[in-house]
Amino acid sequence: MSRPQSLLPLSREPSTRLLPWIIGVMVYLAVLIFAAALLLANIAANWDREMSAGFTVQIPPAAGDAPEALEARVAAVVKTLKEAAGVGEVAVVSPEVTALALEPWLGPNIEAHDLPLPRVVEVHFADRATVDMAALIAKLEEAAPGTVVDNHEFWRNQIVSLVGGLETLATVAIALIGFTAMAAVIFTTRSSVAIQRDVIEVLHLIGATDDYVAHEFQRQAFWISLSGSASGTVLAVATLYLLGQLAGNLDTALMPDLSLGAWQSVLLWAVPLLACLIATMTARRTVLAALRRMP
Amino acid sequence: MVRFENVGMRYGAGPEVLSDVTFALKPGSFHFVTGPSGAGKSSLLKLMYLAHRPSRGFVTLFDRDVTRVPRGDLPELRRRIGVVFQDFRLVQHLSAFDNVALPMRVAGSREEVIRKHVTELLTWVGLKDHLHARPPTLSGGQQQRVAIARAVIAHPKLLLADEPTGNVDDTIAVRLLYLFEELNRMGTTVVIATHNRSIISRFSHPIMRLREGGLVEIKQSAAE
Ligand SMILES: Nc1ncnc2c1ncn2[C@@H]1O[C@H](COP(=O)(O)OP(=O)(O)O)[C@@H](O)[C@H]1O
Ligand SMILES: [Mg+2]
Repeated sequence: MSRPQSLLPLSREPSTRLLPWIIGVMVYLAVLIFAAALLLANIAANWDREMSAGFTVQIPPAAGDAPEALEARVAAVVKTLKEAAGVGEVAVVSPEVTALALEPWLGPNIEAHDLPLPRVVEVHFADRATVDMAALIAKLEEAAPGTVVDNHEFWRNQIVSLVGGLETLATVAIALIGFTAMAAVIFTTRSSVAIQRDVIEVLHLIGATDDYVAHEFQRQAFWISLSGSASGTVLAVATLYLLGQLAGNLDTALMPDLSLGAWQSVLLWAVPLLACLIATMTARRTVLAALRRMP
Repeated sequence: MVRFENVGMRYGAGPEVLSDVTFALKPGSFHFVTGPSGAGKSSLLKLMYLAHRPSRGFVTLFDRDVTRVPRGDLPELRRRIGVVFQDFRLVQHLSAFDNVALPMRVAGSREEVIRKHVTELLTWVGLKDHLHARPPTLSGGQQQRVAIARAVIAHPKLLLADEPTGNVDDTIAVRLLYLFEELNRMGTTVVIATHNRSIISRFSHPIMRLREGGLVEIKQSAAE
């Protein structure tokens, strides 16, 4: 008795009581998917930044080469690199480090296998724009024939298309979630209007405008979707936090940085607000369309 | 105030329930509409409270041809009309107070003005102790008084009542009619549909008699 009764209660039928839950679940999923897409984009951007910071040069040992010959070729490569414009740090990776890096694939006693390991030189750009890659590759080939330059083009292209595909998938998933939630709002509002047709008719005869009637529904749709999306968001943020904790326990070397930038967090918070707005406007448009069919 | 010219009305694709009805009501007049059950009294009122449009002819209300007003102009016209529906049509889940407050809320009145006027009116019709009661907990006569209060709360220029004395005994019916006369004296045009001859005969207001969808006569009073 204390709270004034709503004029056109939306929540009297069972289908309406489900609405906050439906919206809650939808917002939960949408926030998680959106967060995943943002994190993925961050990881991809990080990798891309690391990969485009430089390139590696591999100098494979020629068959029957003496170790000194290989060292000479490495020296020639390093000299060529240092003379090239735009190239910064040049570091020769020692054979031990190369072996260590290959250990997961080749096992601990590489020496014993007597595999001829290529020498690796890691190069950082000082000024990427002034580097003429094609000319540099030609010069390196001249200095040490058989030299392979890997500027990570292949991996970068792979990652770009993978991330692009996953982002499209996320967009489609979020759109589907949005449409499903809208359908739930439309269905509930329509049945609510149909059930309360008598009251709406009386309101019209008393002089209520369609806008007045729509406002009654719209206000409730707003509060219902606000409660639904607030709980959905709280759960989603809790889930993300737990996942972050779990990730924190993992080897940090393997785990990329799992955090969102400031504007990304703002975008994430916009999801529940957008859900409220869409639910409210959907309810309004549904009611107005239904009312126009009434006398 | 109200003008009908050769008005015909039908429900959907059904037969005409009103045919060639022509009359004019002056502002400030008080009329009974009578006739046997099924004659078309309620249908005539529905045309006047803009719940239906005529299928032919012209209906003029407040100097506007309502057969042609756009849907968006109806609310403003309807706010000048108070209606006591035959079956009351109270909103069952709202209190008596909120039911009576509806026309003022719809018109955008301020809440403190609403509280004052609604409380006054409900007190005046003897429902001071039932402000917060919902219609299902009220007797037929009490619900009727809520319905009447809702019809008059916004000072309508035209008051239409469909069998407002149907649920009460003649003594109460006469008292309700005194209330309508009171409003009429303050300038409201009143039209009351009833088949209760004994009530009509106690008042000296003009009578419109319907039979089978036609307006058969307008007598200046029952006494004639
Ligand atoms: N909603 C409706 N749909 C179809 N026919 C109706 C409807 N309401 C009334 N009628 C018909 O219209 C005629 C006049 O009815 P009504 O105006 O209610 O008469 P009264 O009020 O004088 O008893 C009757 O034949 C009735 O059956
Ligand atoms: Mg009737």
